[in-house]
This record gives sequence, C-alpha cells and structure tokens, in this order.
Amino acid sequence: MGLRESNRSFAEEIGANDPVWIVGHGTRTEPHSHVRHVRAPRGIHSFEPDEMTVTCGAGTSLAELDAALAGAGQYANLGQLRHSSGTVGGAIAMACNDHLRLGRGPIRDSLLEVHLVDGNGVLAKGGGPTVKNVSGFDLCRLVVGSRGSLGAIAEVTLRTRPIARSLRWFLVSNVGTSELGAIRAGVHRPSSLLWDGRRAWLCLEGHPHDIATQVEALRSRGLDVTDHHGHIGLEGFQYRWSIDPTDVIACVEQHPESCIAEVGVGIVHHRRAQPPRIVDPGARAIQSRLLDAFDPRRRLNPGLGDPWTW
Amino acid sequence: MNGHIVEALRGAIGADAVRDTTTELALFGHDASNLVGRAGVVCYPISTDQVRAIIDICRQHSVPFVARGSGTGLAGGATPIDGAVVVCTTKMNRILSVDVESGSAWVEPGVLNLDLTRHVAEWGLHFAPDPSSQQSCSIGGNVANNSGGPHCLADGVTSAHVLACDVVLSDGTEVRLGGNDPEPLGFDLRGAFVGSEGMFGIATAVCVRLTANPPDVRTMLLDFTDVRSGTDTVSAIIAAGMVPAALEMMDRLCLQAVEAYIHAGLPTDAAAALLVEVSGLPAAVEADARAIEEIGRAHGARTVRIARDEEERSLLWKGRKNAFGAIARIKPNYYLHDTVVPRRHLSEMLDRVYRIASEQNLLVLNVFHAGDGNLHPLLVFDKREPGVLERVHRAGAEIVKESVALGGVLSGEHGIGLEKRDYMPLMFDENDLVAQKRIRDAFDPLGLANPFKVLPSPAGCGDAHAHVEGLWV
Repeated sequence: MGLRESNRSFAEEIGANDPVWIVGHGTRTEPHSHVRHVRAPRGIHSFEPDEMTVTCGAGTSLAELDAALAGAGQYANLGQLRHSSGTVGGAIAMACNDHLRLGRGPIRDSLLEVHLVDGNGVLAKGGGPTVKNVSGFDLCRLVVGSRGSLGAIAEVTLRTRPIARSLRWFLVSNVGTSELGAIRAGVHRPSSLLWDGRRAWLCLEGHPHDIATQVEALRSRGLDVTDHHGHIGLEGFQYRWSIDPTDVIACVEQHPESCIAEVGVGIVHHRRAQPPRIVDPGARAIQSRLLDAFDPRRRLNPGLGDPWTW
Repeated sequence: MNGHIVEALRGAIGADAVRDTTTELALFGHDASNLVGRAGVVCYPISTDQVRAIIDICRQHSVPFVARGSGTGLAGGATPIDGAVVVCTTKMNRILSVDVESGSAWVEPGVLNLDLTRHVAEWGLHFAPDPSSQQSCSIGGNVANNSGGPHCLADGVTSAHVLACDVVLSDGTEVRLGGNDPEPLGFDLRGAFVGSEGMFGIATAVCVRLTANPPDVRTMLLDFTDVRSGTDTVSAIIAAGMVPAALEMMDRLCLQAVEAYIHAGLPTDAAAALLVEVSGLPAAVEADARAIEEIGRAHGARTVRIARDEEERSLLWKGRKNAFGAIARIKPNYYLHDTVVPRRHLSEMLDRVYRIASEQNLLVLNVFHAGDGNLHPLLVFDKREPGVLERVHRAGAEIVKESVALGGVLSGEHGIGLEKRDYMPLMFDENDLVAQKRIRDAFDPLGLANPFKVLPSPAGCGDAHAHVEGLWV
C-alpha cells in the first residue's frame, strides 16, 4: 500500500465519531486506555540525500529513520538524544527537544510538510516538500508540539542535516560564572553547553581540528577541560523549566545541586517543578479557537487538557 | 475614505500621522509588485497604543486594515484593496533592547533588516535572514513574509530567527506570541504568525534571535560552460554532506548585465556561475572550500575564483544582490518570480523557463538561491510595448505551473499575497485550504487584517474577492 493510500485508510480508521488515541510506541506518553487506539502509517516513502529531505509515515520508528539517514551521512533533528526510541509522529507531536538544541535548533524547524487527520476525520496537508517554502499559512509549526490535538499526524516530510565530521563531549570542572563566560567566549556555536553551577558539559561538532583547537584555547585560559565519554544524567532532574536564557545563571545559583541548565537555550533540568507560568489570555483564546476549529468535540487524544496547561 | 473615519484616526494618533493626499494614496496603493490596489488612508503609528487605536476604529467601522513596512514585498501582500486603511510601521523603528548574552533583541517592526545587523555588529552578531532588499526591508515585513535570503541556506529563514512577537489582533487584543523562553506553553502561535502575510494581526514588537558572526569565511565563484553542470554541482555539494552558508547561481544574461553594472570581472562568456560561500571555523572552511572546488572541477567548472579579501568578497556579493538593479540596462521593466523546485530538477526547470520565455518572445535572466532550489526568473520587458504585459502574464503563469508540476512549491520567500492567491489550488486541495482558513480565523475571526490575500475562494470566501487592477502572474 502506498503512503497516500495508507493515509486515507488512517483517516477512515479515525473516522468522525468516537474518541480515539493515536498510539505510537508509548515512549513519550501513556496511551489512554479507555478509548479506541489507532496507529499511524509506517514506512519511509522517499529519502533524497541531495535534497536533504525524507518523507515517511508518522508511525515509522525513529530507529528505522535514523538508520536509513545515517547510511547517507545524515540525520533528522527530532530530539533523539532525549528519546532515541518511539515514532517519528510521537517525536513531532510531543516536540521533546534534546540538549543539543543550542547547536541544532528546535524540532519545530525540522518539519517541512505534514498530512494530518482532523477531528472530523478529514485528511489535510500543510507546508510543502521542499526545504524552502512560504506557500500559505504554517500549519506545520502548529502541529509540532500539539500532542495530536489539532489532528492525527499521518505523514511528514522532514529536513535532514549532514552528520558532523566529529562530535565530542567535554567536561569542564570548577566552573563558576566567570569560567562559564570564558567558555562561551572561547567556542563558536557549540552544540550544547550544560552547567550545574560547578561543572559544565560542552558538546562541539565539526571538523576535528577545529574542535581540538578550541579545546586547547580553553585550556590555555586555565580551564580544566577533559574528554567526557560517560552519561550526563539528566534523568535525575525530572522537571524541565523553560526560562529566559538571560535568567539561567541566576536560576542555577539560586538552586545549587538542584539543576542543570542548558546555557544559551533557557531550559533548566530541575529537581523541583517550575513555578506556574503566566499564559497570555489572548494566546489562550487563539488556542481555544484552533481546537474548536480542528477538533470541536475534542475526540483526538482526549483528556489532554488545555494546551497551555501542558 | 469616509471622512468620519479619517477624523477619528486623526483624533486618535494625530493629524500629521494620518495622510490622505492623492499622491500618498497612490504611492501606498501598491508594494514593490506590479499589483495596484487602492488605499483609503495611510496611518503612521509610533506605538502599540496607536496601532491598537487604529485597529479599534477600523473594527468600529468594519473597514479592513493592511500593515505595511517598507513596501518591498513582491507578491502584493501589502497592496490595499478597496480603500483599506494602510498602517505603515516605518516610524516604529526603534531597537528596543539587545541581549548579547542570550543573542536576542527586541525591535519594533519598522527597523530595517540591515540596520539591525549593523547595530549588533559591535558584539560580533548579525540577523541571519538577508533578503536582497535588506538595505530597505523591515523586520516587520520579514516576519510577515517569513523572508529568506542568500544566507538562509544554512541557518534557515525568518521563522527560525524569531522568538516572539507582540501583536495587536483585529479585535483589539494585544497578545504575546512565543516568548524569550524556549518552550512557551501550548501551540507554537509564534510560528504560525511568522509568514502570515499580515492576515493575523499587526506585530508591534519582535524578539529576534541573533547569530554569531563566523570566524572565517571563504567566498568562491565557479563558472560553467553549460547550466546543467552548474546545477549538478549544486546537488553534488549537498549530497557530499556540506551545507554552505550560501549557494547562488547566475546565468549568462544576468552575468553580463551585472558585469556591465559593477565591473567585478565576472565571466560574461560563461553559461552560468555559482557564488558559493562557506563559513565557520578555519579547518572546516578550508576542507569545505577544497571539496567544493574539487566537486566543481569534476563537474566541468572552467575557473574557480576565490575572493582574496573582504573587498573582493563584497564586490562579488554586490553583484549578486544588485542584479535586479543591473537589468535596467536591458529593459526598463521587470517581473521577478519566485518558485521552488527540488534541487535535482533545477536544470530541467531552467530549461522550461528558457522555453517559456522564448515562446512568449521575452528575455529572461536567472539569478537565484540554487542551494535550496529557489528560482527567481526575471522577465524583463518594456511595458510601453503593446501586448507585452499579457505575454509576461502568460509566461509567469507557466513558470508557476511547471514548478509545481516538478514537485516544487509556489513561493520560496516572496509569499503568496495577491500574486499567487489563485494558484494555491495547484498545491493544496479544498481540505488543505479549509485548514489554512481555520488558522486565519482563529487569529482574526473578524477578517479585517489584510483581507483578500493568500486564500483563494472558496476557502477565503469570508473575504469577498475584489478585482485588483494590475498585472497578475
């Protein structure tokens, strides 16, 4: 069955009546047990290395996608460092960015085209298959992180990127704010810079000689930089704060031993829950209208609650 | 325009900030496209409060409004229809704050693209989107069109460089979309707003992401005796795992026009030339530049010229970015198109462009973003010539249709506006367009923000489609 036929079957299976839960591998959310489960189409439809695009069913496993792209020296940025398993659709719907976001950007920039089934069981497309496109309103951006509430993702076209010649992690010990500033000043567009108030973990991607040169420059400034091959252990910090990157240093200093911050990004991995964030009432109203338009009966992945409470 | 409305606007934002002379209305009846509409009155707000006051008056009188920055748009996106109120943001041109640590800045929508980059240069930063109009286009316009530019190949278009927008909706609500923090709660309304062509509301402040300047840059010009060798080189570079900072192509007629204009020593006898720029850290730049040279020569590059210094680099880029000005030496008028095809179809698409132009007895120059398949066929003509506009019209329509037929899209960076509104069904079926209409309605249930654009009937049936004078694609 071709992907487009699969999409139509997927839409028929979702139908227009009862509540449904779109099931992937269950790696990012627990499936709702009291409603009908539906699985998205699977399989890589096309991969064009010289286009740097890949089209696949949303039910395709990340492992299958990663293996196919790696064969051509490419990857799609779907937050694999945080969740290496699960499905492509799950990665997009949940938008679980990983801690390489500083260099690689957010997941939302990876989605070029989406086919989805709305709450009325209607299949619709947004975006386009090319790496550059401003034709029409940007449904793709809304779908990323929407948890399937605006539509069940059937098929996606993703932007791919070349795998860097080299990727290395480094541990920098005895890092206070001044040392952190020296690290930031001494490296060009790092892929990640994590800091817990005492230590920093630095990820550099690129040409091996450039990486070595930058690390030597850091050492020459008196920084204690060693290769890091182990685990960083972010899973011990069960909460994920999203704050203004400018406030990261103050946040870490206020909560010593309790958090690891993604410097330059504004994500803080924390042992405590983030204080409630203020949501613009105007933004809430727009989101409600979007839900009313795409799934008026809230039958897709029911029970999620309002988007601004996620 | 109803005199009561004009008086109300003058009362709200000041008499000098509300203009309705014949000359001004004519000037603001169009953007940089060839599509001419009709402005009812032109307002120059200087604050969010004034924008909201204008929108309140529009809503009270059920009059549509059109946000306009510098008016450099090429798809009629800022062309007012049926006497709409034009809200010109050029006086909202302050850079409100720059945060060097986080690499971001809050700016008003009227700030010019290049002014922002110049302002932050002292900290080694720049704003990555760099349309050819960057000296005159505004950040608000960049947001509306999700603008690109030559250097967006590696770093992405405007959407990837906007963190938040403060927006006034047509119901008068002031709302912040996105935020300084990386993961605002709920849907990515910021992402939906960027590229909405002024149809979701008016941005009164934008938080942009700033990009670190690269430590090293290498700019190269490769020339070829046939176009296909050039386009094959483009695909080979990407397939080899490189994403240059920029990868631009000019064909022979364009090279000749530009050379006569700027005297950069361009290869005017070549069929095509590639302007390639790699940037980053020194070893990667050196390795990529060497690999690109090898790939180019393997594909028949006749010469590979490497800019020796910043002066030569600037000269090469001046040629690329001023190509549109150079064509005035050939014909007094031009129509610039914007479509995208998959890179592997670039050569075939260029063949079709040349054939279409020939069939319509028109001259065409090509200068475009080859790295992302974004074509810019430039049809040059003299509008005083009888029947030429119709031929330009037919050629444009064919180019758009052929691009989509090859698996491409309608627009890579100019937007849909009025120009391509009625071509949307080439890419999208009725269900797709209904989905887009829903998004528009969620932001602007009243349909007052820049109506008649982007969505064709019946998806845009809430906007009674007015006839627009001018040249359609």
